Amino acid sequence: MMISLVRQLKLNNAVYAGIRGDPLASLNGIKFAYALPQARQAHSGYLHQFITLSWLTLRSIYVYARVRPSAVISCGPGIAVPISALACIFGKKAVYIESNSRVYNLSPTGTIMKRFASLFIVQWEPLAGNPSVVYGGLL
Amino acid sequence: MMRVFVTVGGLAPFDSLVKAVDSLIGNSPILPLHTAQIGRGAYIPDNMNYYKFCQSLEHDLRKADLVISHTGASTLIECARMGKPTIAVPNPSVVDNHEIARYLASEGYLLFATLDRLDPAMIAAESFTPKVLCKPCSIPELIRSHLGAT
Repeated sequence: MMISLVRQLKLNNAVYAGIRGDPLASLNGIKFAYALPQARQAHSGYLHQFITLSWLTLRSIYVYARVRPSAVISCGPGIAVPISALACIFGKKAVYIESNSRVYNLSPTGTIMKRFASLFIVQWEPLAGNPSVVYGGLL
Repeated sequence: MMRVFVTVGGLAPFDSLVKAVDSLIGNSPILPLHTAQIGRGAYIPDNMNYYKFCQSLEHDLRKADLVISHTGASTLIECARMGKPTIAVPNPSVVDNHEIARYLASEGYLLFATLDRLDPAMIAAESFTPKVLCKPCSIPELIRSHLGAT
């Protein structure tokens, strides 16, 4: 999904960050300037989650400070949350595209991102009834 | 004979699906007709060609007469856009609500079956004509106009 977004947006000064070791991104020739750790792994304990989330937040602060983006665009995974929150705090735009796997209910990431996103896009009509979301069709 | 393509995605192994299809299709004739994308799984099918990952599944999806897929949204959407007869099978070891697969099935784009119902679903698929999914996308324009308004 991110790959098709990258192709369609054709941004000039974009800096890409993604999950470390994403097999599909490297197969499609997308180079991440910054690799972030995965936010949540299935069946991991609370302590493990706390540590990975803390590490993700620290890495996100580092990436944000280096890039100083004028806007953050993200889709789907939980790694987007800390860096979008930073954009929100610094008054920059944060675009969030809900995962195409969500038809009736927002994802956990989406629920959190409703606080931070300046533009919240959903890809299926049944979700379009939510307040403050925009229906964008399917990527 | 029907050409089957099985795909389990990249995140979690789904050996039970590859195994189930492998035994359901039985011994292939001389030319192996069927293909499996096994991802991180360890089970090697006896009756199908297989590979772990591929840059794009498009070629194998197009070639297949029937796709049997995990409930990964992007693959299911790709199949529905092609109007390809598809059976979506949820992976029991993945925590997910599979709402995309259920939604697409309820709208007539594909069939939904649990592992134990795969056999009847494959028979049903032979006479199933899926709807073709066509949803225009305005996401790039929405983003451009949102960012341009700074």
